[in-house]
Parts: sequence; C-alpha cells; structure tokens
Amino acid sequence: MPNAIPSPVPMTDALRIALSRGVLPTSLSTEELRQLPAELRARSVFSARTANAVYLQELREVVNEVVEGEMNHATARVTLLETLRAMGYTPEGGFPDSDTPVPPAVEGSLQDLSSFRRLDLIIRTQERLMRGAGQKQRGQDRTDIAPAWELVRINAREVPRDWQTRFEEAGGELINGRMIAHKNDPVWDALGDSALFDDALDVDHPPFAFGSGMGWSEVFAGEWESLGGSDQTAVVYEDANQLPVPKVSTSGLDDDFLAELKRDLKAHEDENGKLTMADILKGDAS
Amino acid sequence: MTAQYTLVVKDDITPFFNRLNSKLSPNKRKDLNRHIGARGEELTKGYLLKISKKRHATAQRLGAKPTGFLEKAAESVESTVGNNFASVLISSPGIGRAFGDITIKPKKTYLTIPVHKDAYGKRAGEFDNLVFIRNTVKETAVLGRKVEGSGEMLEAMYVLVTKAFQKQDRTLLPTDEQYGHAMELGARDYINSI
Repeated sequence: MPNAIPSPVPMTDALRIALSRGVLPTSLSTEELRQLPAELRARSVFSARTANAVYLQELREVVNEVVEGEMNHATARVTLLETLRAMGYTPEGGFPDSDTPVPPAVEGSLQDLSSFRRLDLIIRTQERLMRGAGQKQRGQDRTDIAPAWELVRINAREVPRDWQTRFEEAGGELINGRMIAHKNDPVWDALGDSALFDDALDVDHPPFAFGSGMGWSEVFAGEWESLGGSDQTAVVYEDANQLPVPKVSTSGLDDDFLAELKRDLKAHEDENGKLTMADILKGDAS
Repeated sequence: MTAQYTLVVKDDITPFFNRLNSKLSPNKRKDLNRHIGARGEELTKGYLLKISKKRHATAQRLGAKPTGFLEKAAESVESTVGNNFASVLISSPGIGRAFGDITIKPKKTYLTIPVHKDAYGKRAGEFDNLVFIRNTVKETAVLGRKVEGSGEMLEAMYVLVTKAFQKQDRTLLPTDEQYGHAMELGARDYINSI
C-alpha cells in the first residue's frame, strides 16, 4: 500500500509559479504580444485580444486549480465558458461596455474566446507552461545530480513537427540520435524563441511551442558522463592563485567507510551489471 | 488533488542504501535524499508515460479520442525532500484512486457518465443542445441530443447517476518494489557523487 499523505501536502513548484502571476489585460494580438519583454509575459496571465481583467482573473484562478490537480480540463473549459456567458461575451461583440474594443471574431474560431478550440488551447498551454517552468526550476537546483535534459515526446500527435531538425536549427547537437544538451545550454532558449520558430512561446522550457506535445526527461550524471557530456559550468583559470579552494565532502562519512562502499559497489556492478531506470521500469531490477 | 507518495525502505532490495543510512547522521541525509527524490520522480514519470500508451479502454470502447489523463499526470510529477524523507508529488484529478477506493458524488444533482464518443472528455455544459430524459420505469436518466437528419430520434450522450464508486487501482503508480529499487539507484548515484 503506498504511503499516501493527502494533507498537508507541500505546494508544488508549478503551483507556486502559477500563484505568483498577475493578470495583464490586453487588446494586443499574439504577434504584438511577442514584442513585450519576456519577463513581463512570464509574470502575467494574458490572452491575445483579452482586455477584460475580470475574465483574466477567472482564467488565472481556473489555471491554478488545474495545476493543483483540483480541476480537469473539461471542467476548466465549462467554468470559463459559464463566466463568458455570464459576462455577456459574444464572438461578434466581445465584452459589452468594454473600453478596449477588439476586432469581432468568427464563432467557433481561435479568436472566439468562447470556442472549444480557444478554451482548450489556453488551458492546455497555460498548464504546460507552469509545469515546464516548475520543472526547469527544480532541474536547476540539481544540475549536480542530473546535468542535462533530453527533449522527448510526451503526447502523440497525428502530424508531429520535426523536432530533431528544430533542435539542430536551434544550435543543438544530437547525441546518439537523441536530443540531449546540458541544462545551461543555449539551445533550450533558442528552441522556444519565436524569432526562430513561428509557433514558439518565448520560453526556455517545455512546451516550447503551442501544442508541441514535447517535454523533458532528466539525464543523470552517470549517463551524461558516459555520453561524453561536459560540465558547462567549468571555468578556465589562467592564474593558479585563482583556483578555488578544493571542496571538502560534507557527507560526514568516514573516508575508510566511503572507500570500502565505493569498492563494494564497483565489485557488485562488475558482477551484476549496473542498476538502471530502464530495468526498474521493465520490472527486471534485482 | 496533489497526492504525496513517500519512498520507504525495502531492506531486501536496498543494500547500499541500508549501509549508507546506517552511517549518515540525521542532519547529513538531505543530500542523499535529493538523489533518491530525483530518481523517484524519474520512475513515476516514466511509469505513467509507459502505462499511458496502453490504457485507453474507455476511449477505445466509445471510439473516442483519449483525454491524455495519464500523460498529464506524468507532467505534473515533482519531488520534495527533507532530512528524513524523499517524496513524490502528483497533481492530477483522479490520481487519488491509486491510494484507495473513491466514491464520487456530484456537486449538484447528478454525475454525468459519457456513453457517446463525442461526449468523452467533455462536460455536458459544453453542449448547447442536450435534453434531459428520464425513464421513470427503470429509474434512470440520460442527457441526449437529436440525431441529425433523423427527425425526432435522440441519442444518449451521458448517463446520469447520483454517485460513482471506483475501486482502488494501485497499478496507477509503480509498485512499492519499483520505488525501493529507485531508492537504491539514488543511493548508488550518491555514492558515486562523493
């Protein structure tokens, strides 16, 4: 039986980031919004041609509940739809009494705030952005444990984009045919850059682009080293006096005990092979 | 909900973790737990993505597009650690079923159970053409809509119930043994790092 501790459960990174955002009412289009500083967009809940602050606040709260796992996407869509109806929104007229007019939208189109397409895209994109931002933050806190990311497909697509070509266009180099790079590699910034890719979201973390279906898997230190990966935080010192003071292990373990443990682990792995996550997932671990 | 699974020791499959644990003082365990938490997170994500490829029974039965519930659950996985624990957090509606039986009650009068492919993954409120139909003999109720081109024929979209019981499904998460192996792998990562 798993040890389920439903409460109090710590706040997730994704929820913490979602809660920190304000709202940004705007009549700007998607293309115009991209001209705003990325930092402003990262700190705000906004939606193209959505100038109504009350609706944006509701959107923010609904997204927060989705991120918290308290609301599924279908309920989120209905909640926002009911809010739009209550506020008198129509695709042709927008919000009544709005001081910031927006062009009329074709009913059912992406520009129609009440359409399934629009609501579904907004909710999925917002949730994935928060999860991606949380994953990036967590990943940066443990580059010593897992120095690199691998770009992997999370959701199947009927017509998938060519992400390997994108990865290379963004400056990445495939490693054994895999899209792997150090967590600090500039490829992650370039992959989400709308100046390079029209559908990009201007973020340096998944989902990188609208409806991408792509995500990150961590590459742990042992595998990164075996793939020939380098520590991208390494610095070249020209003067020996600049060398940092050697780091003393803070594990508190006796040197002799540690040496014995390492010897025994190596002997165990030489005899039995290394324990891998692939084996654990297959149920082949022993 | 956000559910928290705390990794526990399985003595028979965590030999190197056991040896480390016996020597590390309590205030020196957080670094070890960081490694364990990372592996627990990796296992949970990988497991959910693996089973997501196979578990679409309801969608397949209705001929509908899967909702991607397990993929979303995988993306929600995080880990949290302290001096004395390493836990995995999963923020996804329905994941609570992994931990025990669930009885779902409606916020209003009925729960809506989709019985048509167009209804799967959608709430009744997303349709503007549903009609409420009650069968007083069988004491059942459905939400239906007119079949296009059929005149007055209706097709059921949702069956309405006053509650739904879901038995625990422990297979929604890795086994305790798999988590034990992940803990051991984290411990070995830690040994190799110091």
